[in-house]
Amino acid sequence: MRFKSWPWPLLLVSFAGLVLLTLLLLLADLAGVPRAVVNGFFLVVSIIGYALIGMFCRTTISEEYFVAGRNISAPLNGMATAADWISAASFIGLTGLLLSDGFVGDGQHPGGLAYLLGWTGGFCLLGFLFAAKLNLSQSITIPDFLGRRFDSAAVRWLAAWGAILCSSIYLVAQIYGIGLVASMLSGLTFELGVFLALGGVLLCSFLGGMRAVTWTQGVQCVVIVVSMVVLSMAVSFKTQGHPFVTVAAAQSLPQIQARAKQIEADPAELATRDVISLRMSNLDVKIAEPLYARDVERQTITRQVARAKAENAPLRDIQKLEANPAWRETSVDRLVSAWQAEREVLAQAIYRPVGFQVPSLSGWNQGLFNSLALVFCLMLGTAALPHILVRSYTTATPADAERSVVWALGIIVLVYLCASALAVLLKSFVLNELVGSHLDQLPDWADRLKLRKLALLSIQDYNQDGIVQFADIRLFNDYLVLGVPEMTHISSVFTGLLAAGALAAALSTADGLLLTISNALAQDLYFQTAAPDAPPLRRVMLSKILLMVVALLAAWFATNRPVSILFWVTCAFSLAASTFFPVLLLGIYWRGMNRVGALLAMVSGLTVSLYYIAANHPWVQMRLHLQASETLWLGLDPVCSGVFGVPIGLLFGFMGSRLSGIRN
Amino acid sequence: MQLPPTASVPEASPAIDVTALPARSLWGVVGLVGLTVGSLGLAWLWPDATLLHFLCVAQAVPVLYFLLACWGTQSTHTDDDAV
Repeated sequence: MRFKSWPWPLLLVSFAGLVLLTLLLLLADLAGVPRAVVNGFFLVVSIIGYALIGMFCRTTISEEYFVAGRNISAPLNGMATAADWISAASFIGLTGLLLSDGFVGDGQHPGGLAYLLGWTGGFCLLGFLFAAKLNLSQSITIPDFLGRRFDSAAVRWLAAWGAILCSSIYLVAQIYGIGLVASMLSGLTFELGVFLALGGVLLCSFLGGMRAVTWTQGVQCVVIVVSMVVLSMAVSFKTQGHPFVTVAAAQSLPQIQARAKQIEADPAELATRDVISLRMSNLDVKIAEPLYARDVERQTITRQVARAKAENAPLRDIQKLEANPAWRETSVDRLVSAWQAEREVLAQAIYRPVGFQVPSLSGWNQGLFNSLALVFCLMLGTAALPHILVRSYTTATPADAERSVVWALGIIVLVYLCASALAVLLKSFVLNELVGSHLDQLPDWADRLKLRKLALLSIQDYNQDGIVQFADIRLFNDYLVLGVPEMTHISSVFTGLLAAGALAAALSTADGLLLTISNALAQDLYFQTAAPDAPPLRRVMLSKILLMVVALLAAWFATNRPVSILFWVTCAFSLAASTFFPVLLLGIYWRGMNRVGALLAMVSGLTVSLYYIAANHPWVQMRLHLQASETLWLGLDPVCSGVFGVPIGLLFGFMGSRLSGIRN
Repeated sequence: MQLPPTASVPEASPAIDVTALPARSLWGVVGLVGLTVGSLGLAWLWPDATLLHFLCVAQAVPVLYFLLACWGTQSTHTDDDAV
């Protein structure tokens, strides 16, 4: 209770502290303090700050631990929701995605606009449909709400497993993001970075549950917004001489488009694309006949290695020859997988737009359907993610719950407006400074991004002319934004500030997800079945222990380095939409919905969505000898599986309720 | 299967009320769908108009979503709903 009276002072102090820290480190940077020290300081101060809030808000009172005492004001809850929602993928990934894939995509796959609209529009759905109703229910978890609505332990049990599945996929991607940022800031190994940052997460959520997480997320929201806005303004100032980032981006666009047209017509660029197309055709042949191709390639490599040794070639050249997957891989499956990955990289090099759209893209194409499908999944997923929905329980009134959604959306929109404008500004650096430069005289930032421990850029001279063409460049979208200060020649303090923002985004989301999973395990699975009369203190203690176990398990999974943060996060949205949206919508607004309908809606939606993602995963396709053309429905990407899961869930929910005849 | 007597919530929780979707929320959802499909359709109709994509879709539509959310969540509940 005592916290409700002072939300603004804490947030103002955190804002002032961040500004002061940035200024101090700016001075340190000017004084020549090493960059690693400056960046490391941001990491350590951030984690200690979040952990201190967690310790200060520690509690063992169940209502405080699970729903923050249900007395959080709308603005603070909105800030916490925004921080909970802005994940590592959206904070550090969106700018890179827009920069690489453009606005409308390549005519086959969705571009950045689909993510931008899906991720923001989902909050409208949350506010319109669910926030107030969930708050009125006074539940503590989403499975608890569904269990009570349908008066069914089975519904609650199934919903708990659904929440655990969606949140776990999301959590592993977040912890992977935490590891990347922490290792980049501190210079530690990736694995140590994961466990160091996880210490901060645990100190916060373990000690104080939802109460501590809410306050920490409020502060993290300040860090996220300040870092993105300040960085964008600095880049805008650097490029156009004023801090109005949208105006600066609009001013840069015509020049970017003119440069893109020039590059697209450049004979050297076209020659590079021809070389890449030829390599892709060769890979297609190899993938079709892997055993024969491996033998032929091994014979060639054997001759090349023998010649290199005879000519006393440097060891590095010999190692380079031996790094060829046909030489290195003993398993045919792994070899084919390596060739497929190589083909994917080549395909991206020639299909992604030079500017922000591919030339002569006809209006209505597969890309539009994929974009609409993705927007659908992201919107419904945002409105159905358990760790976001649970924030509706922490305000005092339904009106506050709705207002907090509006606050959250306002904050998220602000961050995304900056992210999209930043993508435009960065494009001009890539097209003007990097494309056309000689390989021996790359811009200094390109060399630095290539040589970083976490490489953000790679260049391969496909046509061997010694000049960088656009198709030679590979940008690592997932975390490219971390290299913005170097690309734009602004102070390296901004690297630390940006990474502090990215760390805040990943930590805040991880906090919320950890609480959701541990509460589902403890409240909805264990106490529901094994100890329904357990006292509140025991419930809190078990939740805390499970939270620790889940965090360690997720960290272990993350150290196996999932391939793409964005892919898995988007899958989590589709799974959440398919599992929870139909049952929540029908359960809240249709009296005829009963427990049979609820069970069928969740099972069918989740099954269809999971099947579609799994059947189109390259690993599964290779094992089962499937072709993408056989498993894709309507040509839609696997991350859009919610397009099938949600209607199936709604249909089965409706039919199950009608046909079973059970009355609520 | 019967749910144990809401053991997770120590106090008696209010019954979950099933009501119709408020008209304002319904219109909000309609507006959201219209705005999204319309803006993406606009982008695809003029695939070369990058400035339009940036200003009208990437920048203006999220702001319109925010305004729509402000409008759509007004007065569906009052503070008197506090339980």
